[in-house]
Parts: sequence; structure tokens; C-alpha cells
Amino acid sequence: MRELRGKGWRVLGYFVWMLGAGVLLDSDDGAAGRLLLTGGAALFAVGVWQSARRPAGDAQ
Amino acid sequence: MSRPLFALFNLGLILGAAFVGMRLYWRDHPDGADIKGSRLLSARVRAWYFSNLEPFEELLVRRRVRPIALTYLQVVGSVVCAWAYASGLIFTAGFLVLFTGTLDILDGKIARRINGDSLRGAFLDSVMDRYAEFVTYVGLMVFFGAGWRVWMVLLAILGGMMVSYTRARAEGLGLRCEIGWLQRPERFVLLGFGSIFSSIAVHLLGVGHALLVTTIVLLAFLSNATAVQRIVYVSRELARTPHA
Repeated sequence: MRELRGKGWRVLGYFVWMLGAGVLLDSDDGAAGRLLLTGGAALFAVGVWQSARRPAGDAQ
Repeated sequence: MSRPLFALFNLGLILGAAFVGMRLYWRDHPDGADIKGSRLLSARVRAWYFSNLEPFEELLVRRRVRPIALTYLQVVGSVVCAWAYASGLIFTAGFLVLFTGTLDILDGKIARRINGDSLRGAFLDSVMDRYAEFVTYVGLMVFFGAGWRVWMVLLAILGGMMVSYTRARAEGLGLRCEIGWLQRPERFVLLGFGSIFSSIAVHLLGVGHALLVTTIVLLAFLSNATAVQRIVYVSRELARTPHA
């Protein structure tokens, strides 16, 4: 399960980013596109942070 | 508005994430997985993609989400995808093709984990898949409007249906028939990435959707070729059996 830590957030963040990229590239609706890009980047960052965090009981 | 730099950045992000993700996964899993691959989507690529779905699979199983709910969500997503194609939102539509295809993978995985492969679920899943695929192509037909490209979409629809029908008929006669170049995962990967890269090419090169048209032509011919492969295979197998 350690391997899955934060992975869901990273994949979700990537998906949301790509959705935002689609909105921005396909239409001129910059606000919605930027909102999705920011949300995607934030979710990805949460995933990276969770992956890097040392699990409880794993302290050296 | 043309956004060549942003398009280039996202092209790098798609290719880079896939390259790095696969390298890291294969480094940690050098033996591969017990997954059946094909010429276009190897077992190793499939194993990497499935590994990205594991957290969602765990969550959905834990929340006891019924697989049929994902099947219906796939149909709803395909309707939105068709609307995106019809509105000319090609990148978004390609993304939704990949998303709905992923839902199709997830519902099967969850069904196997929570209650085995129920016959009702398998039946509804394959029927809904056909509706989802058809609706997506209808959106593409609206996008192309008229001319030979619409005929290519119709040919792709026929090919997709025949690939499915030949397998169903063969299974009805007691034969397994999972052969051919373009089965459903290959079709949605081809259409999804074809649409996304076509949209990026429009921003980078300022040309029309030539890549999307090429993708549709490929889908039209290769899916029908797959149906022919299956017809030949099943005919040969049946000719070998003494009671045929």
C-alpha cells in the first residue's frame, strides 16, 4: 500500500490539469481553463507531498 | 486564439509523464504482470496504465460502488464527449474518450473483485459499450458535417460493431475470439490520442485537423480489418470441428 500513497492525488491532478489544458486550447474561456489548471497542479502537489511524507512508525 | 507555447508544453507533459511513469514502473516491476497484451498495446504498457488506476480501484471497492454505476457514467461521459466533438472542442473530446475508456476498464476490474463476473453485469457492460462508442462517433459526424470524412466515420462505426459482433457470435458458438489489431482499448486509445495530438498540431502548426482525419481513416480500415481477421479465424476453427 505504501506504493499507492499519494498516487491517486497525482493521477487525479494530472487528469484535472489535462482537462484544463483542453478547455484552454479548445475555447477562449480562459477563466475556467486556468481554474482547472490551478486545481490540477494543486492536487498533484498534494500527491507529491503525501508520497514524500514518511509514514507513521517508519521513523529512523 | 492560437497558443503554440502552451500546446507544446502540454505535448511535452503528455509524452514526458508517460515516458517517466513507464520507466519508473518497469524499473520496480521488471518481471511484468500477468496481463494479456496486443501488438498496439503491449502487456507492459497495459500493466503501467492499470497501476495508475489502482488507488481509484481500491477506493471504489472500499466504498462498495457498483460496477454498473461506472458503466452508466461511461455512457453519460460519452454523450458529453459527443457534444464536445460536435462543438469542435477536439482536445477535450479526446480527453473524454480516454476518460470513458478508463471507466470501462475500471468497471470490469471492480466487478471481478467484488462479486466475480456476473452475467448480468457482463451483458449490460458490452451493450452499453456499443451505445457509448456509437454516440461518440455521432459527435464526430456532426463535427465533420458532410463529405467523405463522414463516410469514414460510418465505416469506423461499422467496424467497431462488427468487431464486437463477431466475438459475441463466436462465443455463442462456443469459441473464444479475442484476436485482431483493433479491439476496444486500442480503438479508444487511438481516437483519444489522435484527437488530443490533432488539437495540439492545430495550435503548433496552424493547420486543420489533418491528424484527426488520419486517425478516423485508420480506425475505419483497421477496425474492419480486425472484423475480417475474426471472421477468417472463426470460419477456420469451425471448419476444423467435426460437427460443423
